[in-house]
Amino acid sequence: MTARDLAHIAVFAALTAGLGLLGSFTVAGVVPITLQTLGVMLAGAVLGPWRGSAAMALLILGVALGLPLLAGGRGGLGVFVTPTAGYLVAWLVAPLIIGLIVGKRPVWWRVALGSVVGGIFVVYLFGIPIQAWFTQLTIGETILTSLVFLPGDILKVVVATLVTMGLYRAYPKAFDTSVGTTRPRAAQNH
Amino acid sequence: MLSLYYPTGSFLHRMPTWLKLVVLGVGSTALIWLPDSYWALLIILAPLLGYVLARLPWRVLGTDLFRLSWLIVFLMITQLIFNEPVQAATVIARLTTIILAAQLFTRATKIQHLINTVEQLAKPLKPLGANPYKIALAVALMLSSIGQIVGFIRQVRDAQRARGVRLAAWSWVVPVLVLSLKHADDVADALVVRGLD
Repeated sequence: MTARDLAHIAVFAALTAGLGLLGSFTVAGVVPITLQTLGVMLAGAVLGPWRGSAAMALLILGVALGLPLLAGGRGGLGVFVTPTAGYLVAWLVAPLIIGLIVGKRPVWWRVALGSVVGGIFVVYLFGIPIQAWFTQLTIGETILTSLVFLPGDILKVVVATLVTMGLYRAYPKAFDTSVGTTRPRAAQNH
Repeated sequence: MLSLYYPTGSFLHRMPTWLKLVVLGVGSTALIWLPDSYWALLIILAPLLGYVLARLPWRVLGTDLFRLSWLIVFLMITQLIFNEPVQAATVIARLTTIILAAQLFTRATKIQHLINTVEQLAKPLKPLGANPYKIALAVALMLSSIGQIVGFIRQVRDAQRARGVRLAAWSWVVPVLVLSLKHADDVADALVVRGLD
């Protein structure tokens, strides 16, 4: 791992935390959306599978260390024993799937597909069984209570796609994993 | 600094971090076997007693309970729809206790001590290629970047408002990402200058 990888991982973890600190907005008056899962989708699409997952692992490590990095200032070991723990586990896997689907250069339909599979399907796949286990409800009942979040998740896929393509136009360097740091070539060979 | 740590110097604050983690882990796991009963609600008194022993002010306990309240309300609604009241009471008692205990740990443990413990814990991962120092460094970098990024967000939104553009609600995300990733590249350069690669 180069210094650039380390910095990108740390900054993306911080960015996802920042998106959570902003609080949430409400769509159609009922569905609360936190922007934090947008950060999860973007981590995979922008940083790629491995660095994206590492960024989320770092964020989750920070949460375990007791930092209030989750939406609404939540943090500490307590969140790993709440019904939402499964969704946090999914954050480790989601960027991996999204990054693998998006590949090297982002194309809008690949980003959208990746975000649906990684950002919605995988997240629910991990989140719902653990939520059901904690709350002692059946899987079916839990799926019903989770349906309220689906419209927001779909909106986030749209935003993640637009933002990723916009970032690719504005700052393509961010997607290039082959770039080392900006130091001169000569210095690299010691 | 962004931290939930609240110093009082009580014996819980001075206890070694690893010991606190062990107590928390074993205690939380044991609660899984709590039998269904209304008496289970009494177990919530255990972490509350911990808050008193840690000499944390009532205001801190109030904040933590308030943060928990949304979860308790959410649990009550879903539990009472799908479960018997006794089961609902037990589930709520168990989760409230675990979460409060973990929160107490966070209140009574310095972040630096926890980072040091992480570095220690990550040492066995060394043969697998993990670098405990880099992990601890990444945590520190993440913390220092949060303030920067919140600043970027404010800056971009102010700029867009000043130009009077009415754009989509998320129009600030792309510029903020560009600024953040440029910031990351600057940080990387600074790390290389300091001899890390």
